[in-house]
Amino acid sequence: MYQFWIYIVVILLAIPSALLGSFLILRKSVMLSDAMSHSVVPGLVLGFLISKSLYSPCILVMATIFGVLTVYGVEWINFNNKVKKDASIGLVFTFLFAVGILLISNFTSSNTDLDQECILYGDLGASPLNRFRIQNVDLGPKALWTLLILNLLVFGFLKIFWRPMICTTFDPTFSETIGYKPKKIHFYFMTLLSFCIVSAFDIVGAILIISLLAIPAACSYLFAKNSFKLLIISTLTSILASVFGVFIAFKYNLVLSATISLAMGLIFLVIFIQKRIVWQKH
Amino acid sequence: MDSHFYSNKSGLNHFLFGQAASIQRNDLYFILFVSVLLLTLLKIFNRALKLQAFDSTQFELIGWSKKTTNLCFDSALTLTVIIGIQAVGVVLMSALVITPAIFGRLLSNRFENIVRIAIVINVLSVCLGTYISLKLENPSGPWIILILSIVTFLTMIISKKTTKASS
Repeated sequence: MYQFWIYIVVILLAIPSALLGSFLILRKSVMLSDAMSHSVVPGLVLGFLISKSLYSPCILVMATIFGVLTVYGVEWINFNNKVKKDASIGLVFTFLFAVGILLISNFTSSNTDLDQECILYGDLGASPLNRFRIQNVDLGPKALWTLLILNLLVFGFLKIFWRPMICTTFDPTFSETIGYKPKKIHFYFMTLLSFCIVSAFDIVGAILIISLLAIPAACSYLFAKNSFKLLIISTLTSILASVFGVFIAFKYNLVLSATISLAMGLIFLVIFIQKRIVWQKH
Repeated sequence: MDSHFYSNKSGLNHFLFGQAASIQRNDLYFILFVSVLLLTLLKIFNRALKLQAFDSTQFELIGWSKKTTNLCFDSALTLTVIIGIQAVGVVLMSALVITPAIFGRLLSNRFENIVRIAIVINVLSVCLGTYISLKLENPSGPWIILILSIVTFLTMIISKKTTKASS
C-alpha cells in the first residue's frame, strides 16, 4: 500500500508539471521557473511562521505569492533594457533564496521539521504517511489532495484558456489586437506555475523541480508537430519516466527524487541520441 | 523503507550553502593560486574577450580564434565557481558573479569602470557579510548576498527615479 501511494503521488505530480513545462518551453522562459523554485523558499518559511504548523494551506498561499512576486520583480528590474533578463533573474532569485535561508536559520527552532534539507531535497518517501483526516476518517495522504486540486486547476485552465494561451504564446502582439489579454493570461499562468512548484516542494525539493518541468517537454519538443501533440507526448514521457524512476529507486534502495530526475535525464538522452542519428542520415 | 527517510545526503549541505569557517590553510593557498592564475588569464585575454563581447564580427574578421577565447572564458568562470563553492555554496555563487556586475552597469557606461566598481562592491560586501554572519553565528553566504542585493536594489530604485525625471 505504501508503494502504491508513492506511485499515485508521483503520477499526479508528473501530469501538471509536464503540461505547464511544455508552455514554458514554448514561451522560452524555463529558467524563470528555476528561479521561482528557489525564491518560494522565504514564502514557505513565512507561511510556517504565521501558521505555526507545517501542513497548513497558509504555507501554500504564501509561497505561491512569492513565486508570482519573483516574476514581477524580474520584469520590474528589466526596465529600459539596461539590465538584461537573464541577469535580473539571477539577481532576484538569489536574493530571495538568501532571505529564505536566513529566516530558516534564525527563526525556526531546531526541533521543527522545517530545515534546509527538507526544503532542498524533498521527502517523497514520507508523503504517504501524512494522512488527511476529517473527524478520524482517513482520506488518504495530504499530498494526494493538494495534487488533485493542482490537476483540476491546470486542466480547467487549459480547457478554458486554451486558445488565448496558444495565441499569446506564439504571437503576443496579434493576440492583443484580437482582444485577448496577454498580461492577464501571463499572470494566471505564472500563478498556476508557482502553485505547481510549491506543491512539488515537499515531494522532490527545490533543486529537482526543474527536471520535472523542463525535461519531458524538451523530449516531446524533439518530435511533436503541433502544440496539442506536444502536451500529450510530454505528459506521457513524464509519467513513464517518473514511474520508471520510482521503480528503480525501490528496487535498488535509492533516493526517490534524485532517481526520478535521473530517469528523466536518461530518457531525454536516449531520445536525443536517436534523433541525432536520424538527422545525420538525412 | 527507512533508507528513503535517512538517505545519505550529509555532505550535500556544505556543497549547497558553503561554510567559510571550514576553509583551512591549504584551501587558502589553493584559492590564492587559482585567483592569481585567473587574473593572469584575464590579463592575457583581455582584448580578445572585450572585442568578442562588443563586436564579434570584427573579432572574426581579424582572425582571432573564437574557440580559444571561449575556452579561456569558460574555464575561468568554472574555476571561479569552484573556489566560490566552499565559501558561499552553489546557489549563491551565481549571485556573487552576477550582482556586482549589475551594480556596476547601473553606475557606469564604461567597461573598465564597471569592472572596478564591481570589484570594490564585492570586496566590501563580502567583508561586511562575513563579519555580520560571525557575530550572529549564521551561514556566511546568505548575508553576503543579502547585503549585495539590497545595495543593488537601492541603486536600482534611485536610477529608476532619475531616468524618469530626465525623460
